[in-house]
Amino acid sequence: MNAQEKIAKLESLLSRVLANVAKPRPLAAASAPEPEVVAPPPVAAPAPVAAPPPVEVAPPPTSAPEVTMEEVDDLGIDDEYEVIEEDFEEIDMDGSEEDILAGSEEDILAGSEEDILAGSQEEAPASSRRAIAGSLDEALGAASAGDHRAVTPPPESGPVSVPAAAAAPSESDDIDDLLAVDVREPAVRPPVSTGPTMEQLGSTVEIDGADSADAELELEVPSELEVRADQDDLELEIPDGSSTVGTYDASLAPPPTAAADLARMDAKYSSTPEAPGGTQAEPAAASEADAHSVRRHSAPTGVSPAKFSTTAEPISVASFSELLDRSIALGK
Amino acid sequence: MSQSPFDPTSAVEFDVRSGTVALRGSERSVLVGVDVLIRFCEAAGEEATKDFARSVGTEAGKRLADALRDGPEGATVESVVDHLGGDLAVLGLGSLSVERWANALLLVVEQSPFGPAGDVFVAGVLEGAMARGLAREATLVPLSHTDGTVRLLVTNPVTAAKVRGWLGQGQSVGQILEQLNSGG
Repeated sequence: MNAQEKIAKLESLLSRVLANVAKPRPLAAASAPEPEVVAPPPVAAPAPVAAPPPVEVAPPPTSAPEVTMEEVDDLGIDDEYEVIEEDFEEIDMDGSEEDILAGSEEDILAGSEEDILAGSQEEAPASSRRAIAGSLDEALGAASAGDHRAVTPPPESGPVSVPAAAAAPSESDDIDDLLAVDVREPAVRPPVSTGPTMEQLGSTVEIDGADSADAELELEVPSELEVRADQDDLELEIPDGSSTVGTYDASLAPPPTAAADLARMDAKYSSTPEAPGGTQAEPAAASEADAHSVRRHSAPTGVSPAKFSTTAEPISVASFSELLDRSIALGK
Repeated sequence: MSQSPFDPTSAVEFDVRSGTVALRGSERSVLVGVDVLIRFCEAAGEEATKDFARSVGTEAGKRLADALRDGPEGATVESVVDHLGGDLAVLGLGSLSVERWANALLLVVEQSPFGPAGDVFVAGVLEGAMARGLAREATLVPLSHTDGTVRLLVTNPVTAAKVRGWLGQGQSVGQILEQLNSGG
């Protein structure tokens, strides 16, 4: 077969294919094998309503166009053409090319416009202060005009309230509003240091010999009083041994009533013997009762377990039980 | 025969492995805080507190009797103060000493863990110790409580009632002791 014959055969094949395309396409499901229905085994009392829906297992898509493939085989076309026909039939299974193109174009056009309109009607984020465009044309117009007044801050910074006068100044703003904005703004601006002015510097008086190497600054040594004045008032000095604080002059004469006071105090305390324990009740009882104290030794393991102290000759007792009996017998 | 001094060695045995605490010569014990014990005594009332305290003192008197080898009748004042005071110190009830005003005997407890409200408890402990350790039924009357030191008069129930009356009348401890020694 020469090339002309091949071309002619291919053209005829193409015309047939196009003719087949124009024909009403038979349903693939009709020639396809019946779907396998896997139903659960019947129960004792099967109820149609209670039975689960059957599970349909679809056959593989490559088994559907067998009819067309047989037609192609009848023509005696080589395998390469079968591949072309097979790919074509696969496309044909999903619908015609025009349908696909028409549908996709409509979807793109309709969907994009709807999406844009729907997106413009969505609620604006909290961080955005930009006016929402009413239509696509308005949004495109605003974008082309370079409207960048509102800058969306980073998400972590939260909403930022822009003063109305600063954000959108208009001709209706009066001078008071502008001044109010100017008063607030400098608080966050760093001060610009321009150095001392000439009025602050004043006139410079040059001293003769100040530039010479022999010039020295003579500082006066502060006196001791000045040093003490610089110390903290709350700080107390530790008295040294040479200090006279807390001492008295031994040559001072005692007060004239000192001798009488001593004699009175001696008479007062010598008449009442001191009882152990230092309680106030002891002097009154001393006239009749002689105080006698026995204390437990501080070191229990010591040789002498108790300390014995007395202010008078103790009444001799043989044992603790005897002393106990005497005390219990009191007042009976 | 001389008395051996109080030996605090192994007076309290702690077995951390088994979680037990035991006083020497006694059964298991527990460590209870002072505040908890005071609240318990306040809730129980004076009579119940005194019974409870006498039970504590009975255990101390038992250990005292064991320590007094010559028996309670021949025990000197020093030995009783040493052993009974040492036992009370182990219990944490303070330091015991004795004062004698003529024939009146005062038991003094310094560093008492309780306040004046705990004087009844201290008196009950000493009463129980004397009853068990010295075989003497005595009534102890708190005379004063100053700076954690409580002075208790060892007397009989009849005289104890009179002393409480004198204390109620505002008499001083010295006046009361003088009256007791003068036969009042």
